[in-house]
Amino acid sequence: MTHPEPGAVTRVAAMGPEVLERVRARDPEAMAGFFDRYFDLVYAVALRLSGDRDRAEDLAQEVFYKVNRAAHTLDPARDPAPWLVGITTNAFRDRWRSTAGRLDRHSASFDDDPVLRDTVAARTPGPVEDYVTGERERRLREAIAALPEGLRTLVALHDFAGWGHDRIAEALGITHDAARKRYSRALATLRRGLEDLA
Amino acid sequence: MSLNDEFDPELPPLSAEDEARLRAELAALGAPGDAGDSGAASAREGFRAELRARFVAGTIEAPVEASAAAPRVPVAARRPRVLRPWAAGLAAAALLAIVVFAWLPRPDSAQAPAWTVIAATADSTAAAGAMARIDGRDIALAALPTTTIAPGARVELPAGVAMELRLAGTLALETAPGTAFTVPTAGDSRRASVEHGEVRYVTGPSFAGTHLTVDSPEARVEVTGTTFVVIAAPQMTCVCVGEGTVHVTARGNASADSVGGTAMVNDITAGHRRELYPDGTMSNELPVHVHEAMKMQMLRDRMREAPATPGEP
Repeated sequence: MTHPEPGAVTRVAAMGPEVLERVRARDPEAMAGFFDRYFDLVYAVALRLSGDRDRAEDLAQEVFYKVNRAAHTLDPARDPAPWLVGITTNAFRDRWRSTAGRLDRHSASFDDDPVLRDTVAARTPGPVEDYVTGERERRLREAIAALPEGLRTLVALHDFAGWGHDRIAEALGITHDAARKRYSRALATLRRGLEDLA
Repeated sequence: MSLNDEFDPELPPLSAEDEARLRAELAALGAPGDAGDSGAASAREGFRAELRARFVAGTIEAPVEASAAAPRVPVAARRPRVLRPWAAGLAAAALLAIVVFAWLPRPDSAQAPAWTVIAATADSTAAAGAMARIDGRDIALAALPTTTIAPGARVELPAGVAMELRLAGTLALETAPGTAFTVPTAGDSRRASVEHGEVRYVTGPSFAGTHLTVDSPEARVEVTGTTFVVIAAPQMTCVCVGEGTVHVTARGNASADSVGGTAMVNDITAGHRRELYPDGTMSNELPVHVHEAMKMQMLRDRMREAPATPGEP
């Protein structure tokens, strides 16, 4: 059974083990193919987590920097997407929990992001609605950052990368039932992180 | 580690209503809005192209942690970034998934005391079956807590794996994941190195009267007792000092001791850092990032609060 995939942003097919083996060896052509195949996934998850283009680009840069350094450890027998999403969500968590990251978020300006500015201008919500929505999103991001790593990755794969439980189960080497239960557990953990909000 | 280990049995079940609401919020979180959002989910082409070229060429660098005070840099004006993600390192150090954590008695040996592995941790970038290489021997991560490391040993940690080492009462080291370094030698004049990655050092009471020199590709750091960190990033070395003063020499490309025939030796005082570059230049003293100061403080506290172990001075 495949659940609906709300908010799906991207889908990618896994690279073959032969190509991944060449990525391990840092073959330039394979590296280019790897980037082309997975950049959109990484960026999409980063954008959904950060809600901001500049921060998403920073996250994507950090992810591919780490991948570059760890390319030789890549397991060619496994779909690298969960690994990449895990690195992305960890990078988000690290930045979220850093003081600088929080300050940066508090100081963000709509004027710095034309897309956000235009979007906000078009929606024209009231200031109270803006505040409540913004606060809840901030708390949701905080709750995501606080999730255990495995659950955080699972939420990102399901809700930001648009993967169904079947694909998640296959990629993680677990049963569909286990993937579904873990997702439910992740949601329950997120809910607990938000329970003092209306 | 099984994901089941992360589950909280006290967690109440989620109602269908709550689940639906949460999923809707997740679906909306950071998603492009319904107005003016065409292309919002795509990265800017210039950024993507530059990142791709650097990734393929192996010259990609970690982004600098965004500063609250700094204005946002337009994408067209983005410059190559050279600093490691300091705050990410802090959080990673604090939150890495624990693979192993162990306290071991100090070995009873008439020879120079061996270093004890206090903790080894791995994050999600660590490959299954990853091994640490110590003096040419591959050591499984699970075996690290029972491993003692000889002074002067070369340690190469795989990606995603970090460790903390201690020489009781004398020195404690903490690495970032994937660091390659040499453990300080024994004696009154200790030598160590950081090939790449990060190593944080704190000296203990038994260090008094001895001398430590740490080499990185760009720097030589000399101390007689302090708390500091050597970060050997791909394009530079950053030396941060938490306590005391260190003397740092720019190594440059050609010589360990001189650049253009003139040695560049400078002090770095507590609370400051310097960045040293491959061409032999170094920055002025800059303030230590607050998160790096915290990391040094945490290592120092752990060193000072460590329970006495058999044989510890």
